Amino acid sequence: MAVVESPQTRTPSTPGPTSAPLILVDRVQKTYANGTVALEDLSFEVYEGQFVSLVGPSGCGKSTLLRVIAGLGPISAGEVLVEGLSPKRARQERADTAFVFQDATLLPWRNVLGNVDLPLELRGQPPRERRGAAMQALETVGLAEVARAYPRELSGGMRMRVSLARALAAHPRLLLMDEPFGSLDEITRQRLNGELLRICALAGWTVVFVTHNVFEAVFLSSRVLVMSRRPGRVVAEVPVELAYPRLPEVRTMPEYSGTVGKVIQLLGEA
Amino acid sequence: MGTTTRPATRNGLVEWLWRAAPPVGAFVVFVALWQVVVTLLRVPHYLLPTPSLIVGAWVDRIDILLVALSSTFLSALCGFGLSIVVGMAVALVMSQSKLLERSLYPYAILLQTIPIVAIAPLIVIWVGAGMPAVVIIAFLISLFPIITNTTTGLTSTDHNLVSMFELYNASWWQRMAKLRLPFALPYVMTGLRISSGLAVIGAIVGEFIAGIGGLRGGLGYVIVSAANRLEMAYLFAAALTSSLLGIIIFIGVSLVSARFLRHWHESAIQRDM
Repeated sequence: MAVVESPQTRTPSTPGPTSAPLILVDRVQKTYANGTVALEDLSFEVYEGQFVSLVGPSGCGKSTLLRVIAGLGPISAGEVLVEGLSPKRARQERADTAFVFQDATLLPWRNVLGNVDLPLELRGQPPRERRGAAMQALETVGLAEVARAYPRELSGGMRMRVSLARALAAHPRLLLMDEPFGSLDEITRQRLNGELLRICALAGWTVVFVTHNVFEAVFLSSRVLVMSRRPGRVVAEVPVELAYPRLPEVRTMPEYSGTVGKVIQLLGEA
Repeated sequence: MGTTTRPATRNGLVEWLWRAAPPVGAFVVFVALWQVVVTLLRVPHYLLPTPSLIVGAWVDRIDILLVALSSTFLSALCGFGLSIVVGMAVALVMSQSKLLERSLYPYAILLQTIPIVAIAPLIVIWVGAGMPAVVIIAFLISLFPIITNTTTGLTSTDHNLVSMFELYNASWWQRMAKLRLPFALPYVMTGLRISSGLAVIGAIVGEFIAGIGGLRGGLGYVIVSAANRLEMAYLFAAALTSSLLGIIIFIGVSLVSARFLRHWHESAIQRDM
């Protein structure tokens, strides 16, 4: 069945067997110098446009895995390809990846605008161009009026939205997120979940999202990958059959709670 | 209507006066007590002069004291400036590798622990008496805190921020200029605050040993010669002028620090609660 995508909005989709994966992780192993095995025989694929969550118990290596995909750490065995290249090369040559940490990681000595245009500044874009892209990104997340404020003046939720604006301004293809909403209260978290999906649809991102909150994972993703405890492997995959765009009401639907239950069960067995 | 409400904001001047009143009051009480006790007990003026004698000496020799003040101020400023330039350069080098840090740190500590009064005569022999020697001594005394604080600041950069810069493929220079140096600024400011006071002490101690005679001797020389002549009131006046110098420099550095940090660092932010 053909799926027509409008150019303005793209919705996360489940695997298309005809296209090459954006991210390929093949039997990856990562051992630290002291002998700890963080990841072992880990394999999965992510295709363009998908929203994939990694859930697993604390310490299972999901953050480590994300850093490997970002090209921030080496692997001991196996292969990781991002856009067909090694993660480091992909990051350096394509610069298509944005990373959002649990901490908003804003530079406190710069105002919001100065933070949002940082990636573009590092890339060497001229100021006028940068400011335009940065303001546009801030408008998308709804924070245009605090462009001159400093991070310390903002709430946790607003800082995280600035972090998202920063990712947005760089126009990436791939977004890697490491428990970005973990330090926020439940109400803000749910609201930002909705925001994130809205922006994803606008920007056409592919997302790999690490979280230990199963409810969040199921709400956001088209696929949920369950990791075992250390040494981490992908032990199961749960497709989420809910249609996009997902409104908050989705959380009350039986299919939602059913999927959440399934993931929790698999987590327990991991 | 039982409660009265205070105005939410006070006039800035009134608030400042309100805050200054307690220490000023304590000072007035202390000085009054001093005057009364010394007068009643008839303590000789060459042991402990009364505040009135000190003020008298201060007013009498104000012209000499002000010239001496400016001389000491200049020496301290030059020594301080030198220690900033050299200290930050050394810290920059040391922060680049753990090996370098471990090689150089012991010598920095050595600098700190050698009593300057012991090597000051050596410096006078090498450089001759006069302002250059005083500046060098002030420099040596104020160097260490700048090295340690700046090095700590440069090596303490939040690792998440470092990862973020790596993710955006930042060059070494970009990382240093846009991340490490701004991040280190609060630490640097702490070092500056400590060093500025030490530079004043260093200049005065330097003048004890190396100051030339006459008007250009600076406050240290004034203190030493007053002590030699048992002119205690004059000595007190000179000593108080020295601490005035220290206070001026400290306020200057604090203002600079507040200006740079005011938007973002906890130490410079005024909070309502």
